[in-house]
Amino acid sequence: MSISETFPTYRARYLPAMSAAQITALPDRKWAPVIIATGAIEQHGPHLPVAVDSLLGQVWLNLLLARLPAGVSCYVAPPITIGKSNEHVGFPGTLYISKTTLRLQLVAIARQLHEWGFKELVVLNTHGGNSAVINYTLREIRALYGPSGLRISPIKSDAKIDVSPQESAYGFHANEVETSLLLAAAPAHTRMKAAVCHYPSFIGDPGELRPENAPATYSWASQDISPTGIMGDATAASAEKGAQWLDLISTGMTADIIHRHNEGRRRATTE
Amino acid sequence: MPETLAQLCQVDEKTFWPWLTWEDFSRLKDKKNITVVVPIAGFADSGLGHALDAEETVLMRVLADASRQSDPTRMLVVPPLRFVIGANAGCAFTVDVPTAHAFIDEVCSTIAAAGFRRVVLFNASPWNEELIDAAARDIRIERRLQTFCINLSAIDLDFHPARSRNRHALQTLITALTGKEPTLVKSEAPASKSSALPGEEDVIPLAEPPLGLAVACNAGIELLAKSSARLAALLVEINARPALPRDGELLTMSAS
Repeated sequence: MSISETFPTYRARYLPAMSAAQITALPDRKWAPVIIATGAIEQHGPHLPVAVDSLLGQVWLNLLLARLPAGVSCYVAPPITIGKSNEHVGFPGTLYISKTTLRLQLVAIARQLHEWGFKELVVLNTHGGNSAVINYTLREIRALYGPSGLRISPIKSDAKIDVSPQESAYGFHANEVETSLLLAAAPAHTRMKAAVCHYPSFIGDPGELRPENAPATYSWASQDISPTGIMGDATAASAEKGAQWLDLISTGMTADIIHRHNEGRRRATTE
Repeated sequence: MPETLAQLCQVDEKTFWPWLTWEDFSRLKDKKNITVVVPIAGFADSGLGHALDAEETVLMRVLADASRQSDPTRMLVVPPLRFVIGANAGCAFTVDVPTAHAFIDEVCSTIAAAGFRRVVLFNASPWNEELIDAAARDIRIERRLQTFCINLSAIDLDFHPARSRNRHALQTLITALTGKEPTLVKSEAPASKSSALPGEEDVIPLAEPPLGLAVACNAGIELLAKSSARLAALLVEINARPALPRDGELLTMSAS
């Protein structure tokens, strides 16, 4: 038995892997960003496990933390593993919580971090169904503690993903990107023989009403728009693309964390 | 990249719910006789000198080992629900009671929606025990699930700082699992005030000196084997219990 038996692998930066006394003795609390991963356990087509979203959150954390230069402070809060995934109702294996529970869990984490004296929270969300709730909760938390009390915002990565315009517009679940990322990060848990291409809408369709990203949208449940749960072209995925995108996106996230660390440190010394 | 970087918790891979696809769930046979284990772990300083997530470390390791001793076709484990209701000053990332109840109920509802009927709430936190008890009853009645509770405290792994009778053994097990020796901090609360009565509990650091890493590792293997065998036996007993009549439906009773 050894430390490798414990979760997560980045325990040196995982706040719950410390005691409360160790956390309150950290000298860099005023400028160290703290990352909160929010994911989901939900259907991802017949070819990917229901773990995908939360699993990718852990993959991004592992990759970006490994890229941080020595001296860059950054910590990680406990993840929110089960998210708001009621759009996938009817696909068995999907676990989900309500919008209220998601909001209150995020508020609880922010409150604890504020009590410990942290000033910068970064949300690493890997599930689109969480986004609306997370975004209004971020504003709520900001208003609660004030900008000098707690800064909180989503993580950024300026990586450009090279997929077709059709995939970019309407490939939004268990798609080419997610499937490629899983092929690279967790190949034992992918079954490409079951992958299909299914789009809920097409570029060039008449009118402007679409499921996502349009002047008018309709609220959908997955089974309204995809019999398999795939929305996109999973067959176009490859491990090579996945490895490239893991590298690109995590490099962008790392740059964002370094920037936040530097800005936080500058603010701490000038305040 | 190594697949060890893609993990959600410590777990026995064969019984881990998130590794299945929705079609796997759809094709599972005899779902009514599969026991779904919902691990629940809090974050707290229990006076053992270990990390805030020591509960999860112990809970998931004991569960993984018990799972490996069980029939993998009769059991699934969902990711741990990480919360504590903050009944004690040593707790961290606390949620209020309604949020905790909603969290358990919502997750169990979606387990039921997938066709499962047997749920075990496997809890590590001494501060969550009463809440788990109340939640399990509600889930039985309102969701018609056959619900079981196992607390770590019941298998000799009690994190309660005043009630536990084997804190030193628990501390030793955590040392072995994490590979880190404990760091004890002097308590502000006088030891004489320590009580197991609800509302009077203080987190008093363990007075007995901790074992060194090498000794703890050897002792830890034995402790883990004992606890996981006990849990495995409890899960066998749960599996053997007949399903609820009428699929859990409750009747209005009438006099004979």
